Amino acid sequence: MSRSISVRILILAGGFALLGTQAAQGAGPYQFFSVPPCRIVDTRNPVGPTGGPALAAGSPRNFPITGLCNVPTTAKAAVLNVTLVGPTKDGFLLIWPYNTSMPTVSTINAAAGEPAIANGAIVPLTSDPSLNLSVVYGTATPGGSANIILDVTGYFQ
Amino acid sequence: MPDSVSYAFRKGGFGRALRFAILLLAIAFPWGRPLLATTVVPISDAELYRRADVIAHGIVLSSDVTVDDLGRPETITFIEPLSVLKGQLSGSLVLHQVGGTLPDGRFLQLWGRPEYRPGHEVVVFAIARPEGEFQTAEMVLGKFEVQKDEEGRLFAVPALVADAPAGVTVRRRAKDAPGDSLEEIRGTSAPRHLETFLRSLRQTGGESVASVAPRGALRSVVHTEFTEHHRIAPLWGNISGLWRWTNGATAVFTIDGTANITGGGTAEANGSMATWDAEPNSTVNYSIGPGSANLLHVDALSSPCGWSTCLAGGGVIGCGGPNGGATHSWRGDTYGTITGGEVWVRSYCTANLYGSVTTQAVMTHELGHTLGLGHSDQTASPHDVCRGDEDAAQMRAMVQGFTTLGTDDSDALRWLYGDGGNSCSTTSTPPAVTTNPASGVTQAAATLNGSVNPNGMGTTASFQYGTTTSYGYTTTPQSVGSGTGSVSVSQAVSGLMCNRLYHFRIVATSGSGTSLGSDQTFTTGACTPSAFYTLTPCRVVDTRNAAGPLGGPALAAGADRVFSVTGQCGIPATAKALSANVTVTQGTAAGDLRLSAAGAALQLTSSINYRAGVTRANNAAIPLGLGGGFSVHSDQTSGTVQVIIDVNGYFQ
Repeated sequence: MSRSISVRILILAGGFALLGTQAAQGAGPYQFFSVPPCRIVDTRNPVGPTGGPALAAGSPRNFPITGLCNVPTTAKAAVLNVTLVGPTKDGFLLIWPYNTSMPTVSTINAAAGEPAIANGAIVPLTSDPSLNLSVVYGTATPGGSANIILDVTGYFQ
Repeated sequence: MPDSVSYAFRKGGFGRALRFAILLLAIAFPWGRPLLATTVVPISDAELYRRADVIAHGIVLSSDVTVDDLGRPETITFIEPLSVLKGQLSGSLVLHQVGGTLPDGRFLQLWGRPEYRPGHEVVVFAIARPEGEFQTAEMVLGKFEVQKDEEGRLFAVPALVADAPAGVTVRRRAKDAPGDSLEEIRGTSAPRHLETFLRSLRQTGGESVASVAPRGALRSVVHTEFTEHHRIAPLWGNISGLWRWTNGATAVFTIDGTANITGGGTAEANGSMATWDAEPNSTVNYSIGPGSANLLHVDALSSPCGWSTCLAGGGVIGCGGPNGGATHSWRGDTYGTITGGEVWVRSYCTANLYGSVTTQAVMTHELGHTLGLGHSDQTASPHDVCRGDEDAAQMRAMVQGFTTLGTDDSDALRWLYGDGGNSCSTTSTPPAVTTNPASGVTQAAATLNGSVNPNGMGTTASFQYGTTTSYGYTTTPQSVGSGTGSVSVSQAVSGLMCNRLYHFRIVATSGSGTSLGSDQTFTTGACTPSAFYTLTPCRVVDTRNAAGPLGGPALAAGADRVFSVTGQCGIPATAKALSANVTVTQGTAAGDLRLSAAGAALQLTSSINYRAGVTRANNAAIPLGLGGGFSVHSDQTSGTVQVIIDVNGYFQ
């Protein structure tokens, strides 16, 4: 990459309990399956399991991935493009497998007022019939909200 | 039925006229039961006279079976009066009688029902019906057949005796048991000397009938001039074929004989022409004008339909029909061409005693025959799908008391000349659809096939598909025209899951409705996993470079650009997807990029978002499609953006 990208890493503010202490574990090997690019989640849409409302800062939301957009229920990880839309405060986005400990690594960092900012991510999926991953919008100061879009381009299994 | 007959004979007169009984061994019923016996008690001439509203001596013109309001066979008899002995008649005496045999074989037979045969001379005691016209008083008792003895003297013979079927014995009982009030009236069942009988009825109300005995055998008086061809309203629908005019024909009818009719005729003729002309589905232009191609005889002294003299009874009758060839009409099945028409209308000898409405209704009816229409209430056409409106039609066998067309008339015209539609079916046929097996099934795509017959209405077709019979996805509808033949429809679908059973069906919609085809299924190809292969990071696309397949120019707003990258940077032709870093820079407006496999439908997914002027980068897994390429779509509303794509691996 020839262009530098300004990235601000924000310190995870207080208020998030670390839900688990299990050590990271490897799994695999998995193979890649390409799918036609497909939008799974867009919180700008009407309220629903894969739609609104917007993420309120500090409140995690859980989303289904498998069974949608040609991702089978047997998928172990999703190849996503994660877009954060219109964050109202400087903040960051965490994304991790549903029903596991919240990680301390961010997927997107964005300044307040950014119209939209995206990042590619490969996210392990929890094998739950209805929910596969969790997201949370974190901010340095209380309050704020942002919309999130999850597009899938492939999966591993 | 015996009960109803018995009731009809007894009502009103059982006690007073119970003087004399005739025992009949009656008639086999049509379904072949054993013979039944019915006792009938005739009533005196004076009692008959008292009950009758009209008594007429005349000649039977016609007696045809039609269908009454309740769907039963009904016989309608026209009698041309020679003299009216009680009451008043304007025109023919029209008698209704339940019963008879229809042309299609349906029948209702009642014993005691008077039979009228065309040409026969009769004396009839008639009772006015609440709904108009007449019925014979006391069924068979109200009818007398005029017969001639061997000396040529005329007698009125009670129909009970004169019309008794062969094999039926008519017996008299002179007296019943002592104490019974039965007492014979002399001559009640005997032939009456006609002249004396008529004078008695005219002068004394049927009392004191002189006794004159006939000599030798009695034979009915038949006026042969009435026995053939005589129809008040000819059944054109049943006579040697049925016809229609050439579409768009102009038929000029010339009025003939207006000078001899009082009370007009011209206005009525014009009105009846206009009625048919105004029917929007008739392409025949009727008008009144000069010439002799089509004649409307307003005062026809004679006609081919039968009458040849001045009609003493008065009233208006008519007949009419087409000239031409070929076969069939509204009451038939196919049709040919009419080249001309002629109508004969006859009113009273010296004055039109009927009103304008009736005269025009007769003319309208006869002109309907010249259009090729048969009688609405006689014979049925398979094209007459709206039933129950036959009696309101001008083409009903009986003249109407109004001049407008009924829905049956209009439907007949629509079938013969117009759009073929009718008044009771508001929609035509929805499209006919067939779902055919899918073709070109791959891992992620298939071609869905079907056929549609638009059935004449503008129709669009699409496919519903999905992994269940709830479908859930619909292709973009495409037009299949408005023809009447089958049209093949094929639409490609992509973005399917591998190794899955898919259901689909064709859907066609027109103004007549939506038709759903039957369900078909196909299974997409087996899923093929890809393995990841690293590449030394390599810049494969940079639109800032000189113009070329993988270089400039900058991506324009709204544009799609396909980059074929296999063979570049070590990407093999077998690669299915790329692991890449997508960078945008120098965007002149805010926007985003959508990346998809070359040849695939543009999806609602973005790979990178940016503001004007910023440089941004993002990771992406990019599927490769046709020609080992991928497509980049700019969602900027205006301007351009430079796109740089660096690869760091591929999947295959």
